[in-house]
Amino acid sequence: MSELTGPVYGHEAVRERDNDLTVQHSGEPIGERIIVHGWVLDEDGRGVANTLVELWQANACGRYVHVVDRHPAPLDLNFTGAGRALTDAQGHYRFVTIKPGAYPWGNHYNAWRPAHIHFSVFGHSFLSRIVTQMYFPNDPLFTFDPIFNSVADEKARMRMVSSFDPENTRPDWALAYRFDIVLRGRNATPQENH
Amino acid sequence: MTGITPSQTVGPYFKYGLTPNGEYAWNDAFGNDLVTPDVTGERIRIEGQVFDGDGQAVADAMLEIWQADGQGRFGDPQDAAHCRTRRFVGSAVVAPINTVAFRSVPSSRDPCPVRVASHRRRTLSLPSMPGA
Repeated sequence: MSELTGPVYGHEAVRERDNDLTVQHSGEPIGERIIVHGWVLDEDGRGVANTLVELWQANACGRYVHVVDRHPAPLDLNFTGAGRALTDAQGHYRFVTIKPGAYPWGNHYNAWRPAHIHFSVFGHSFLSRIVTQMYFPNDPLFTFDPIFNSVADEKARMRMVSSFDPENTRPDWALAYRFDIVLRGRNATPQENH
Repeated sequence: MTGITPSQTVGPYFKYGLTPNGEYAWNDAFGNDLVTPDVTGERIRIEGQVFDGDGQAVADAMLEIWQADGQGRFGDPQDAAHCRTRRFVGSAVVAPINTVAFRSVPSSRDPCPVRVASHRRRTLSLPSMPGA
């Protein structure tokens, strides 16, 4: 049973507006407002319902609110950069946020991270737990980024790249990107087996 | 059939999003105390240190644990019960140098730490590359 069970976190932990990173402060954050949504799926492509999706990211200038980040780009008093959502019965999640900026990170000469959003997802079993990064399509920095390229298989690597989603764009308000997350494991009903 | 999404480094900046602990304008979904008023069993405290491959203490490693309650039941809807998974970041502020601690109730029948093969113990995320 211990391998089949997963974390339980109390749904009170996710508040109604935790999935909108543009309304967490008194004013609106600076930057390009975007909708990031998708499905959390198991290996058979079935939606993983009611699972916790957390994200964190830099602001539009490529600056994290984390105290260790010393990149000389401005912080945005109206943007923390953290969000949280539960998937619905079909495994769908949705965030509203600001498109993060690229930033230099000193790994090698003129090293810049492509714009990305960090994701943490649990799924129904602890073995399905994943921490990953979502990228944006056609980023010119992909070629130069050792973290993106640490996934050697190109097909697998491209699964970390969201797709531009004009259908879910909200006209006159925000562009949309779709990012599906496929977890390890098949979401079959577990058998009691101690 | 769908390919699995690859994992990526958690990076050095996860704290404000995953374990803000009152230091950022964000709330914690988890804590380090698994004991709820309705549980039965002996209260225990688990503490230790996290080291990197060079033997240096890691000050901001995030640990996630899960376990059955004192009756051997999991909080997961697939079982029934009380016990919740929590997470905690080791911090020199909370405890002596880089110590992490959980308060918990020992399970009567949960052997999970030894049953899960080492390569599947995906419960520890570390900033494997600086600046990621």
